[in-house]
Amino acid sequence: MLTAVTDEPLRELEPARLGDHIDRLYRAAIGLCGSHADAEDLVQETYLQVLRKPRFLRSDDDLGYLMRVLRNTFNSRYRTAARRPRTVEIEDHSERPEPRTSVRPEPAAEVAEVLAAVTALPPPYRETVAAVDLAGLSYREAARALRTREGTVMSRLHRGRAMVADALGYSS
Amino acid sequence: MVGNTHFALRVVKDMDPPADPERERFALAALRSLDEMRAPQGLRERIETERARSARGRPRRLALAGALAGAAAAVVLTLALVLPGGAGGPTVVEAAGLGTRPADSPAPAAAEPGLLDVSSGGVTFPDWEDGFGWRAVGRRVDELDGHRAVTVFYEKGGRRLAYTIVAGEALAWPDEWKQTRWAGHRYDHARQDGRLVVTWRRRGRTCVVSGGGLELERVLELAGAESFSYWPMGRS
Repeated sequence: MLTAVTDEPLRELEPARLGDHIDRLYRAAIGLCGSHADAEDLVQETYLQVLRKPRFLRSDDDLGYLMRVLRNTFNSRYRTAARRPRTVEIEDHSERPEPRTSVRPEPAAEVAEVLAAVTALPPPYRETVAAVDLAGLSYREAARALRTREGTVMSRLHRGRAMVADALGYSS
Repeated sequence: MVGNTHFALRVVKDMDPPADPERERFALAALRSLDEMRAPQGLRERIETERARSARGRPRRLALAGALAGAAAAVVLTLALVLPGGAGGPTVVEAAGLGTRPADSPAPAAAEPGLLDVSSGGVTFPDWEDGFGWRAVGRRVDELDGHRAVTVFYEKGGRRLAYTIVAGEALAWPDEWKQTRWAGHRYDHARQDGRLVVTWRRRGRTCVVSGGGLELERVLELAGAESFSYWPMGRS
């Protein structure tokens, strides 16, 4: 006979709460894209996709879910475009900065330099740094969003940060 | 020797850099400089506009789903009277009957591109919205003589189809249905009370799509696209 059975508990993603995550998602997007204009488009496309129909999650991790959609959208649409020649908004960094030994880099022009360093990372490291250091996800949340293991997240983060430090002229 | 050298180089390349807390702190301090970055106001306003538009559209969708569910319930009563008892286990006709029942849960979320966040018997339901315009609008879970059966309902232009995947051992192919082979797969199909019912197997599970106003060719297109989305994990 036909008998209905209960489904696993799901929670609807509340559209009203999604606005809380725009800034963090935007920072992750700009880390992935390296361009303010592309980051705006990416975040907007991400929200449009999520708002298109009701979404149901099994955890409270709204930001992690948004990050997963953002990353999928970036991979499917922006990576191909990124291979084409494009105008770079950030400053010219043709001259390598002087080696620095202090823990805190100088504030002057550092935002553009740091973004350039993140954008130059190979994709697996870039998306991990974007998820944890820019969007603020925990290792566990990042692992879910990036569909990998926590150990992989930690390893990629370690290497990604090292590459960022080197690109910014860190010298031990 | 060359191979060993290549392997050794790969091992070195894949190793984590040596721990250097100072370098890590340097990178973190640099990355913290981005914390003050805020999304542009224009972006916020566009997203808020879209969110408000989405919130206004939600009740309409639910009302439409409710009306369709009522119509489907009437068909259920009719089918319940004519369905075979199924002494030898559930039948495809019974599985198709689930598609005439109303959804009892909201639409599943989209997961990876091309897939929804719901599966049955290890087979994940497809997201047919981007490629074909069929939007998932609801679902239900039933037990069919010991087989868990998940049904996802899709809508497009006022039409509605139900896609049921029955977990467990595949159901017997129905007797005396028309059989079509397309792209190397077998599809059996028939008309039941004005609804087209098409069944096939995917990874050993029985899949059934049914609905009114459907054309066989369009259903085969959907089924064919789905088979590619699983490649190379496994085809039926």
